[in-house]
Amino acid sequence: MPQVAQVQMDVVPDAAHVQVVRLVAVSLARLHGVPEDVVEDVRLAVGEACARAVAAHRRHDVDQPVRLGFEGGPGLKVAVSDGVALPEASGDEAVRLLLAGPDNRSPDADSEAAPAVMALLEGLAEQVSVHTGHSGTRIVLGWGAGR
Amino acid sequence: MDLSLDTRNEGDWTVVAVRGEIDVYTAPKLREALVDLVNAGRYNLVVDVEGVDFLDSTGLGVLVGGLKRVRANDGNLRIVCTQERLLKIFRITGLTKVFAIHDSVGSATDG
Repeated sequence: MPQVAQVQMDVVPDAAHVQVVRLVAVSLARLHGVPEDVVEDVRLAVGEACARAVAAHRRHDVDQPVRLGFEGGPGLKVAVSDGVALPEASGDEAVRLLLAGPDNRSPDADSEAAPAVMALLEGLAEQVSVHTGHSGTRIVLGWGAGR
Repeated sequence: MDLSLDTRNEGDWTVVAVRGEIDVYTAPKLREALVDLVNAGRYNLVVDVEGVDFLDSTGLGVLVGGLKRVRANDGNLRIVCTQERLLKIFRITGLTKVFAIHDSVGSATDG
């Protein structure tokens, strides 16, 4: 098993690409020893973080790609970065900004999504860190390897 | 990536059996189906997700939107789900308190 690995992806902000990101996340989780019963959590959490970023780009007409960085071995760390400017913040304050920001409002009337996204990230990832800033939001999710 | 919907009436209830993945890309198709049913006067809906491989927060948002629409017409929307990985998503997001989740279509349409 590789000790250190770096995979980076630039994803055009299109909802159709989120499934591709999920597949990559699952493959890398398995490659780097994330236990099989946790791989489904990786699939969902990385998909959620990526879909959130894609939605933010589309809502703010940001054409640049959403960036993902995967660092493996052992376990997996995934950084998902969007390019939508927010005030500089980390931790709970950054989460508050994401929940309070315009991304909390979907183009349709069905949106319960932002609180659900944060609940899922925190419920599914073993480590979560959120940083907002003028260059965008960076969410890092982490899982350990099995023993 | 595909999502298929099979809709049938069982008495006062309309059962929507969903197969495939409900995510940010496919959820609009489910939203459209639920809106069409409500517009057609079907206010008691059962959404059967036993054939669903993947469900994300966008899909949950569509289900919550459907519930709001039928409740506005004194109807109800019940979920059929026994898959632990999907039930976990409902639990984490607190939606087990919002939806009646049944283990079979027969149970969901009973009463």
